[in-house]
Amino acid sequence: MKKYLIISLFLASSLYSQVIISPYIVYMDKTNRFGTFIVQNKSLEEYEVKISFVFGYPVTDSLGNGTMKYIENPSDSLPSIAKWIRAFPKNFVLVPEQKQIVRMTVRPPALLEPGTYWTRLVTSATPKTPPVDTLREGITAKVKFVLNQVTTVVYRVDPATTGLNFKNLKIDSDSLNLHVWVDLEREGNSAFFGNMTIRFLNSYGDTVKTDEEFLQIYYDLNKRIDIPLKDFAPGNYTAEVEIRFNEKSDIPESRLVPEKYVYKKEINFNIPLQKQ
Amino acid sequence: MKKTSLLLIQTIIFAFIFFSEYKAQIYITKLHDLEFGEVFMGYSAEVQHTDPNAAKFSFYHTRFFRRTVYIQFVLPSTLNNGSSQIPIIFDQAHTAISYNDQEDGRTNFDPHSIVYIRRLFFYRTVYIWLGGTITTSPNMQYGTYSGTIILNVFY
Repeated sequence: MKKYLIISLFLASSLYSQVIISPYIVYMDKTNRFGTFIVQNKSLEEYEVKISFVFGYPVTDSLGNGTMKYIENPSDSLPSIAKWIRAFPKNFVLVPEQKQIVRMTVRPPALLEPGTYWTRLVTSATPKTPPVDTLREGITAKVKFVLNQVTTVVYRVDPATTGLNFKNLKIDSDSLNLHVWVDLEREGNSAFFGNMTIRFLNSYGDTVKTDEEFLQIYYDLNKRIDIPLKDFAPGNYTAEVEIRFNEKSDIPESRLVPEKYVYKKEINFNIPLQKQ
Repeated sequence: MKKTSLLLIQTIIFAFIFFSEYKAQIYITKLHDLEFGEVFMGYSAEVQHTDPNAAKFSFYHTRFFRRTVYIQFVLPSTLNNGSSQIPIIFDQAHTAISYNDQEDGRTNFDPHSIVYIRRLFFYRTVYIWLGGTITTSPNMQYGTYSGTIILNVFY
């Protein structure tokens, strides 16, 4: 039974999907200025696919909400490779079950400061549709969709370094959720990719709840993690936040080693939360 | 025999995790376009998110454990047939998201803002429905009016 369940999970990845791309981070460096990714049409429709590049990275606002910041014309001071990268082919059509390998090459300036440079790669897929009929009587209306999948291309110049300054850990709440605020500052000259684990321990030291999240810290990040208050009985608790460097899971080719692998902080609090 | 079965299961689970890490992808499927069908001239037509004619998507990712996914719609303000236009309105009441493919338990969201799905567990499917409202005038040109919505998915 378990065997069938696992096999069905594998199969599920190729059923009912549309245009898919792999991998979602393409890695390049000085010795390897060529990268590839695969676009596959797993649908029953024909798709027009267009490749483009834009510089951007995730940011958080003052409420801890995440969003993507895009800069159409990044200045030279920003670590963008959007101007230096070329893809081939940039436009193509995929019939059902067809796949296309897209090759990319980056031509950076000769003298480039060490660090990690990147761009967002936009793979835009539009279903091919018959021309609009303007002759029929009556009015019909339909809206079609263009799917833009936004992934990342990374170009690294050694010596690349990364790390975190775990500036602050704070807890507050509203009527429904406990908010864990994690204030992080990236160190070094490269983005930090890692896993964050939040463990909540009761007054006996038993773990009552665990929460995990993958982090990509390109610059500073002030994240808010919401945990339902109903998950906590009244009492004293400790929240332990541990961030573990884990770039390899997204960039298998990476040889980046941070000064520290694990960053930790903890804070005590009571439920109901006492206003400070 | 039992030991061999256990070893086999462990190997499959390890292979599954390894494969998930290095072949991590997001699978997005458009299950339905947004269709208003035949519209009476001079009247408005509405498609609720619960209507079978609402646009419907599903997606999941295969990166081991959890991943945050951002979704953003770029919405048209009109549909056109080449020469005439029909205004179209999208709003929170006509847009919903859920972990289950059913009417109960859906959460409405503003389709004009970025949807931020935190810590989505791998292979957990999320469904999105998008409806809208159009208004036609009595003297409009006959024909099929169409528009395009861009769905941006960031990861």
